[in-house]
Amino acid sequence: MRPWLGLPEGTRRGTRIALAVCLGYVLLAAFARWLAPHPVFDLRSLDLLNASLPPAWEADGQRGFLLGTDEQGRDVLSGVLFGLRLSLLVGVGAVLVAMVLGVAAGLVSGYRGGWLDALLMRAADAQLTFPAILVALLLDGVARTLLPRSVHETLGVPVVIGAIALAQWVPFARAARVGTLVEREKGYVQAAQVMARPGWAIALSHVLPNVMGPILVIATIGLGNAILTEATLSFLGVGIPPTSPSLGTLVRNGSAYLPSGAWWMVVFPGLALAGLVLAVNVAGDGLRDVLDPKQRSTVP
Amino acid sequence: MIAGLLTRLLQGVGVMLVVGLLAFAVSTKLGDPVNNMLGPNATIEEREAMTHELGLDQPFLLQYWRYLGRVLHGRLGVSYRLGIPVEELLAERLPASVELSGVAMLLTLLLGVPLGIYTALHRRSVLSKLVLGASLTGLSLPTFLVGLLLIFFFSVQLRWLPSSGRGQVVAIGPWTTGLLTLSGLRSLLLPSITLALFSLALLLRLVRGELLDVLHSDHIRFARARGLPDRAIHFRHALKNALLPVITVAALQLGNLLAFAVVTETVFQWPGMGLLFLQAVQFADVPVISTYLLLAAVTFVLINLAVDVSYRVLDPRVRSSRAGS
Repeated sequence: MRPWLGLPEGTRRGTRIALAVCLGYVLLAAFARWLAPHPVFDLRSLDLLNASLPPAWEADGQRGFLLGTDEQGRDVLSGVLFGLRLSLLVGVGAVLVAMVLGVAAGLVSGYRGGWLDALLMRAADAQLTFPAILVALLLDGVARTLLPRSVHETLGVPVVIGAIALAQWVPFARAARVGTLVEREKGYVQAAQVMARPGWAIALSHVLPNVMGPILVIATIGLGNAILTEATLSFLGVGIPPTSPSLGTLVRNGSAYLPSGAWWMVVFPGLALAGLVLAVNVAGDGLRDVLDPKQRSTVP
Repeated sequence: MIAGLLTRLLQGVGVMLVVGLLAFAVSTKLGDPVNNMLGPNATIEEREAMTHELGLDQPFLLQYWRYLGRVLHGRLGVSYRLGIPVEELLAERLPASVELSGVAMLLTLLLGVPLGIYTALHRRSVLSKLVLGASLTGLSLPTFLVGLLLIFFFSVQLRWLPSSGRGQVVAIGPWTTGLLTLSGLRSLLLPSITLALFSLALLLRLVRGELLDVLHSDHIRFARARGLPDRAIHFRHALKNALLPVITVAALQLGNLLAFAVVTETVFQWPGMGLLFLQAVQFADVPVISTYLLLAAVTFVLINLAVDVSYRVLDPRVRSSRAGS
């Protein structure tokens, strides 16, 4: 595989810009604590006199609140920075969990074959019948009914990560399975089998590294979807608990005040989200063209 | 061909049975129906009598069998939240969702296919570039944000269109329709655009990509060499081949539209199935959740089956090579 962080020659300009934007988002999220002008989670810092202020450049805006405030006087800019952190965390976490689950299933399926392979792949087929967002919504709904309310409040973030991950494992499993089927027949794997290494050791230390290329591509493309799914769940009020708002939760909260004309509570978190997803999608598409030219673009 | 379809049909039935089992497990394993019905002060004898009466002392698989029987007879339980039988709720909510998704699908097809063809045939025109840029944005904008922005501009600022509800509906037998009144149509406009935007952008890009691929293939080059006019090449030879994969994706997009209807219906407070389901999730209204699960399974299995059939009918290559399998 070519060095992909060093960005090889053929990388398009759009991809480079998108990667830079992604990096910028990551930095903003990582340093949110220091970059945010107001400690929005500190209830003592809130002042209802500052409630529902428009952005600073509007007639009634204040300079301390660049993007305005929400109905409780929380700074929108600070909220967006902290929300961005949570959205990225859940998106990356969900993709990682989906990747581990899917690759494990794909390796087992491809290396062992037999009834387990048939079972796993039929399950994958069956799940693909349903759109991912619906699967995540259903899983979240089931978790919500199973867990008592207090447990669900504290476990909100892991539950959402798990729901999104279980909705997205199939592409990883399929790619890993196909790769394993090809690698299994090659000389180095057969040599290892002759040396009587156990099957799991061969699968992990020999096959896995050689099937990772397409998997990484699927991961970058899945990231945009995962972030969007989290935002959608949170917007619907079934995702991240409102005590620690993600970008989707911020839009949900703000949407109640849209009819009274307070557009900034919705527009800024929404644009931050759309920009992030656009950058991740363009970067993922570009990386795919560079890393794996055989796969066709999902965004033709 | 018949054998292949039968396998597909059997697989579909398998999926439905598994989903049905899930729905049943959710509906029985959550909460204690005996406790719910008798309250905490009942004696042990009363509990046992009730358990027996409800059939809860029977083996799990037998209970599942009976549950399937009830579902097939259209008895889906009573909503915890509203206290109305779920089948009545469905009859009330289904028309709203079907109209919304249907109109969105129509918009997707009627705009997506022509725009895709146009952008493929006129690659360098300014309009093509504008359309493509807009479609990339459309793919990245979350559905709920699109809906909220449309509400803000057209309902709050300009006051042209209503922001929520179905408007005035006309009842035709058990079906209520908003398509026959002006206020119903005005109410439908923003939600259907919101719902259609993503699939429209996807379909447009797909049609363009496929058509560009086909235009580079050998049979098109030969057609050009024969001196056929552009029109005939584009519409008689290229389009036919390009539209094959498009049919599959369009059908799968119908499934996506039904899923994202949950979001759109929430934004616009559209009284359909999606909104009902979401409220059920928030209130842990188990009979409604498991019914929605079943209904989604039926719909998606049917969509996939239809895609499969259409493929076999339309593409002679699939018909001959996969007929035996």
